[in-house]
Amino acid sequence: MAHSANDHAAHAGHDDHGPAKGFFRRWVMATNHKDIGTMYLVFAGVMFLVGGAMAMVIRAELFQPGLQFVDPQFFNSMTTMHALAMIFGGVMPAWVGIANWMIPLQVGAPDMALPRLNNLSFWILPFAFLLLLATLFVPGGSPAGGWTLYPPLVIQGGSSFPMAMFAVHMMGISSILGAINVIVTIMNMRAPGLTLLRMPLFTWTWLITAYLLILVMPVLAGAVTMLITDHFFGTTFFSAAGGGDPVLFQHVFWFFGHPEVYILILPAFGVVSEVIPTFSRKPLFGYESMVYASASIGFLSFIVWAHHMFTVGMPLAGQMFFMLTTMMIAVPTGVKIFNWSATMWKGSLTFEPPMLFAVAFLFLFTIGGFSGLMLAITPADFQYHDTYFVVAHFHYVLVPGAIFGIIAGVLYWLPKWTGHMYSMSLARWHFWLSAIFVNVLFFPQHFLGLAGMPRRIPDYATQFADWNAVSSIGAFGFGLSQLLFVWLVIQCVRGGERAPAKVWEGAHGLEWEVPSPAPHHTWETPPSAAVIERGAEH
Amino acid sequence: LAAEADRRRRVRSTTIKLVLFALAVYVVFIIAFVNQSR
Repeated sequence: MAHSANDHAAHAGHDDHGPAKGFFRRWVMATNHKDIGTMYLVFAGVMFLVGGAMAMVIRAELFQPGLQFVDPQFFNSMTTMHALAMIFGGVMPAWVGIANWMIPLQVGAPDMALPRLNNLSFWILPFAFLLLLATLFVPGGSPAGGWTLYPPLVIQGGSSFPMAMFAVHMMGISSILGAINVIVTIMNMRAPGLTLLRMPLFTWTWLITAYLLILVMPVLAGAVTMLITDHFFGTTFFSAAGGGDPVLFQHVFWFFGHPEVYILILPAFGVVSEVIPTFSRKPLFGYESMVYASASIGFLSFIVWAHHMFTVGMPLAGQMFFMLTTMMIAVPTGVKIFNWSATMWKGSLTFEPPMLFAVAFLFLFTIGGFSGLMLAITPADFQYHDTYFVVAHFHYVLVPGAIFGIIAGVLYWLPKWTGHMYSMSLARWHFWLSAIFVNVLFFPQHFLGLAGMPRRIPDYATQFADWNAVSSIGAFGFGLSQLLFVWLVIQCVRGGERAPAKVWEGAHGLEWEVPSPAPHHTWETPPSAAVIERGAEH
Repeated sequence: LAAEADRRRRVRSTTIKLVLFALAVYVVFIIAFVNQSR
């Protein structure tokens, strides 16, 4: 192992050159996958803080019944912008950042296949979000009709409407370009001998994610373009007055929106599939079934969209179809949960911070999955629809699901990126505080929803007061705990104990064959068959 | 060199196919809606 890392370093010494000098050339003109990955991760971190601050405003307002801090219009802007910032600015760029760092390292490629396109797809994002966040300062305030952008409400927005629409278009373009880059890299740049079914699960799940992106992002773009023409050019795609149909927009939006959920969570499945075998010191149980389960989830995500809109009044056959297809997703997801559990079974387990987050993911994501099954039952959904139960459900999927996956991935590969170990005790504090507060924050929202509290309201009836106060305390605790993570990452970047090439004893994969920190250029010569053989022990 | 040229050709070809696919989804989708709402 060390031998291989030394070989790599010696080879890199001949023709390797470091990063470009100067801020502009290194970062603005960046084409190196590691630099672009770092920029994506920093951007995502900033957007997590922005979106998190908005969540704090929401929970502060909901701490007690009555209007306390913000007016209802601004509250609605906060729920809308929180979602857009977290989904498009936080979770997606974080995954693209980790993908940029890890996919070339894991497939033995010197860089992404299209480095300049990579630069473009990153640099579109800060401008898109500047535009979106600038809507907070225009007359009428930022969009307040929910992240789902439903007409006719969204079209009635003031000056913010064209800005938000253009921003969504730009985010979509960035995602499509990023997805093209990932697919082209994985399909064409793999080291000779690294067949598809020998790839690490993180790369596999990203390949499926990229296909989902390229299929659904143009659909969102089409829907947004039609909203723009409805608003500015007199078309009536979604206006009943002109022969159009607002419900059609909901169908189109969720044809994008449901696969989007899997775009956010599939890479987390990949990270967990890397972390659990490492800290169980066993190969992943059922590697091929994991690949097929991921692909099945990707396919099924296209035929379940209308479960988000059971209450619009669809035919019974439609309700039955979407209920049953939604429930079918539990099958491949169950395969994954059982495979991860079987991987840990009789393993030589240790609980380093990435493993703690992966195990928490296993339990808490499953809670989100089960509440999803409850929501899939059409007659039950008539009761739960638009209540806090739905809020609890998707936050369990996205926070201890997607975000814990991101944190597990960062903690797993951070020593490889920085060359330093981080403080294990700080990481454990961060884990336990996050794991406790995330449940204090979101679990009571199930009770609120079942008791009938609607979502997206700044005020509520007094019988909901107690659990709202508990939920807000959880939110403040969870938000503050994340500052520990920011401090941990800053500390690790600045220094610390030197990380070896193979940071974790049980790790397998080509990324552990290069030194830590990974040199600016890696795998300029593809890894040998022996190295691939060693790395592919899943 | 031949292998590198071949790889570049494959990269270019996959990229073009994916870009055209994304554009086609976008355009066909809007055309379908134009027809639907006439």
